[in-house]
Amino acid sequence: MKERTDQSGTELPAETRPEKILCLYSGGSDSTLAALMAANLADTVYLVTYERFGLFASKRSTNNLLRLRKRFPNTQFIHMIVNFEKEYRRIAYSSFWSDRLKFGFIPLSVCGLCKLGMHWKTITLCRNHDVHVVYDGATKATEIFPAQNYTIMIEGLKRLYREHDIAYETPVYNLDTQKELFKEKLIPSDRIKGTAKDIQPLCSQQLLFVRFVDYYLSKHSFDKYVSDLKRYYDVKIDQLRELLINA
Amino acid sequence: MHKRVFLILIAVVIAANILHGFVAALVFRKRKDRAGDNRLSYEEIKRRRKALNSLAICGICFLLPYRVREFFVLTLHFLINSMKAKLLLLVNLLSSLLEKTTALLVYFIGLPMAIFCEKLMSKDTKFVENSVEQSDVTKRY
Repeated sequence: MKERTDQSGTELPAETRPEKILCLYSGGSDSTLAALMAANLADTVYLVTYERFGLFASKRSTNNLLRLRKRFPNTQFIHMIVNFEKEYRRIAYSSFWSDRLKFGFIPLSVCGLCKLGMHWKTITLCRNHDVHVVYDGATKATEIFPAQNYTIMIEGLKRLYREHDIAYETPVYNLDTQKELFKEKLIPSDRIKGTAKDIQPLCSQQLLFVRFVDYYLSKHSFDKYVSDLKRYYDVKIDQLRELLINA
Repeated sequence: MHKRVFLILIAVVIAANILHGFVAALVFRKRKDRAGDNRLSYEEIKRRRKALNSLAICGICFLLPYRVREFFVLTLHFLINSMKAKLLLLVNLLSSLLEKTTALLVYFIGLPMAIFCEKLMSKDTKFVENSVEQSDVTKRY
């Protein structure tokens, strides 16, 4: 095992250093920084990029991967592009009418459901590859997304992962990911999000989430948005819990 | 004939816009902005119109089954984004064309004209300086 330090530069004791870390990887700056932090700790880093109908150009995620490989020649990066269409469909549409009757438009917050499908697949992958640490590039700056919000989803997800003996971490949550990556010389500028240099897969279904947020926040406050979505995602995480037990 | 059709089309678009704004203002009449104010302004109407569009899209997607909804959103995504991108590209192209034309005009016409005028002015000045009108004798009267 390598000599490893955490983000602050402190040497970590050998027993706390995982050998393998699985990183949810889109190839954007947030997940690339999470992958970089994983590479600082582990010998093997699984980078998982998900795809399904509406999510395009998954191969665009390899752009930053090449830079990571160059930067960490001794770390083994295993990149996987995984289809999770079945999982997403099951999560989003298993209780189509009851969800809609009970929660109204909230089931249209597709980005959270999509991420839940990814987490289902991730837990399965962790079991198959004997991985016990998962890194996610969730950041506070995008906390409007259910999966990037501690109250709505992250706390519940942490509990779910723990039940499967997996530590679910969001190591870049409070960081300015672009600045950090620029400091590490992995990106050409410290402001690339939304520019042509920000190369990552494209999602057409995000449009529905944006429209849902537009509508919901035009009627309710952000606090109500968070509390309503939390209620919904608690139910969905419980559903996922049952699905994982039955799998 | 064509002129009349064109005018009718413009009138329909204006009427549709007014109706859209009116319905949006009515549907979201209880909406308050960040300052807690629900008075109508142009910006507020624009926000309400956006919210109404979102409500319409959400309403359609609410009822659609899985694959149909995915296709619907996908089509919408390409319609909105590619049109927006094309318009932006067109605006960029036009502005760059305008910029280059202006630069060319200035360089090939404006600049030689300025030089020519300057030369002409200096000749005039010399002429004026040496002319009888500007001589010390005439200046007095």
